[in-house]
Amino acid sequence: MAQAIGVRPVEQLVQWPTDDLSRVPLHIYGDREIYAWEQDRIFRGPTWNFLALECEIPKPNDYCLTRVGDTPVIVVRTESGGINALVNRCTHKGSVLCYDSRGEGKRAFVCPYHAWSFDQSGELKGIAFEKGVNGLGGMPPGFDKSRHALTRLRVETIEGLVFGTFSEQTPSLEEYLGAPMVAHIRRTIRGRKMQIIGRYNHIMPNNWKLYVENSRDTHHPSLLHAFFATFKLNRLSAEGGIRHDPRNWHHMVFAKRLTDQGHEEYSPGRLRTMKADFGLNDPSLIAQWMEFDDNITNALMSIFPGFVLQQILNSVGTRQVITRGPDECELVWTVVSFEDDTPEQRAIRIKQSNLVGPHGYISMEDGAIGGFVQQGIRGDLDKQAVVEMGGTTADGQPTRASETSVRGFYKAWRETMGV
Amino acid sequence: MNMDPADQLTPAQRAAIDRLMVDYVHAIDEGEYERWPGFFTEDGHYQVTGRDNHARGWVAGMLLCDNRDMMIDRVYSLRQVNVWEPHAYRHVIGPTRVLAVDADGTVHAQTNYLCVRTMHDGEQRLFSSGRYLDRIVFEAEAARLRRRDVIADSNRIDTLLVIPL
Ligand code: FES
Ligand SMILES: [Fe+2]
Repeated sequence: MAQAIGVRPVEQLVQWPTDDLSRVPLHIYGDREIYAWEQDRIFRGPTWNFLALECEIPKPNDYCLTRVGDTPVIVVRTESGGINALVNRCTHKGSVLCYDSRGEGKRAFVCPYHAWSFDQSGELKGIAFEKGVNGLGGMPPGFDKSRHALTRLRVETIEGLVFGTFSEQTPSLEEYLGAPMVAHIRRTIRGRKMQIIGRYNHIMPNNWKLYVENSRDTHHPSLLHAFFATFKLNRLSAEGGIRHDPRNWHHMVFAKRLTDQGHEEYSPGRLRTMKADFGLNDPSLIAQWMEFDDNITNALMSIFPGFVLQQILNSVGTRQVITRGPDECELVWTVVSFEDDTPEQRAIRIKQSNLVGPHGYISMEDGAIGGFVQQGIRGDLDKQAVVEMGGTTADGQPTRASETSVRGFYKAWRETMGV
Repeated sequence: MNMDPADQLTPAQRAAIDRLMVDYVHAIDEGEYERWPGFFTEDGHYQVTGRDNHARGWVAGMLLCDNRDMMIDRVYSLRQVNVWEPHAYRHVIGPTRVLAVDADGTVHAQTNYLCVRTMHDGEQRLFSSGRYLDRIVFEAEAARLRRRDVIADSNRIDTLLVIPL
């Protein structure tokens, strides 16, 4: 387990510019060596990473492929109904074992190259021509198959979301998430059976951290997204706030659109995003039903390192950040309905998927903005980003006019990277 | 004897379909986005989806519109509301294959496309290839889309999808 081979020690690569979290050095967005350390210390470190939805592998022996950072991972529903996650790398010479993104009836994994076979727990069970031919060749007698199992991740699930971790040091999933995040997941899914209604594979021209920051940037929505501001869907003048786990690694930002009191910053002519003349010919797009007793109409929960649970009106779904080198990443959006939805509710969710994804009235701008930063910082990698709105700490706040959640991300980043 | 479903159409109807196909991509490639909703019937349906999503029956496609008003909103938004780096498309389409003709005259057809995206700074890349899966009806002399599913060969979208394919 290492990508950081032949690279300089991480302490030499990153010197945090301040004692607090109010500055972020820009060179961490474009550096191959730091990227390699992130793979080892974050994605293969003491973190839980989202792998899949349970409903993607409903039957025994169903499997699907995913990635944790750069590492290809197989998620398989076992014969007995459990879920295992295995690195998709044959321990012989390294070929992938599965090369189709999903399938069924996988009782064993047989490598396409020289037919080594592994069971659903990753144990090496068979080697073709292990004894050679006519007493010649074959593996040496002392070869111990039990030492050549696939790398296996620990797996835990919550409300149909499957997470995996490489590290024995990671606390249990619920402890890792912290009570407020666990409560929010339960509040959003509430035991309902998910059905996928859409998936968008969104390639972003920026470092993975710039997307994660964006998902935690709680004061940008009404400043970047005219759609949010104009229709008063998610403005800072509505009741809302930011919740966090005890370590301040994960944050959940929420707003209640019906409580919007207005603010002079939103008066005509001040912000680009308040469009007085924009009205929808078909307002059914933003007609929602109150799905949750707490009257929250917008909730984004960002779990370190790269998972987001989304509720935008009635659009519920997951976002998984996958790294693709220092200056590109992929965001896998999955939008869902629930088994007990009425046909009308399902239709609303389908229609509201217009708000998210690479085409989303809102999210298309998030797809572009990371690239704007990646372009803007060229040639200035010795400079720093200013992350001071709402103070210099990463705790919860009763306002969204704050960058506390972004600071929380860098708290977790520094603690896992050791810098 | 195998009959080509296209044989059920009059030469005038076939010509109308060809005009629709050519005019549609011309309007988009030349930036005449306001004309886009006019290629559809009032209750027209449009969405972009990946081949894999389509095969799995995942119905929440991208840029999904289930009537012409939603398309008009999209066009207004891309002109006036959304923030995106200026770019344009160039579509190349293949000949239209008629798949079936319903009893009410609705034509099911498929047309392949390639779409290159050129950014304001000149960067070009193949943005999407795929097929238009259409349901076409005739209103007076003109052929219109009652439904267009754009089935992209890839599930991936680079950066954003703001201009319809
Ligand atoms: S690489 Fe897998 S059996 Fe050789
Ligand atoms: Fe955003």
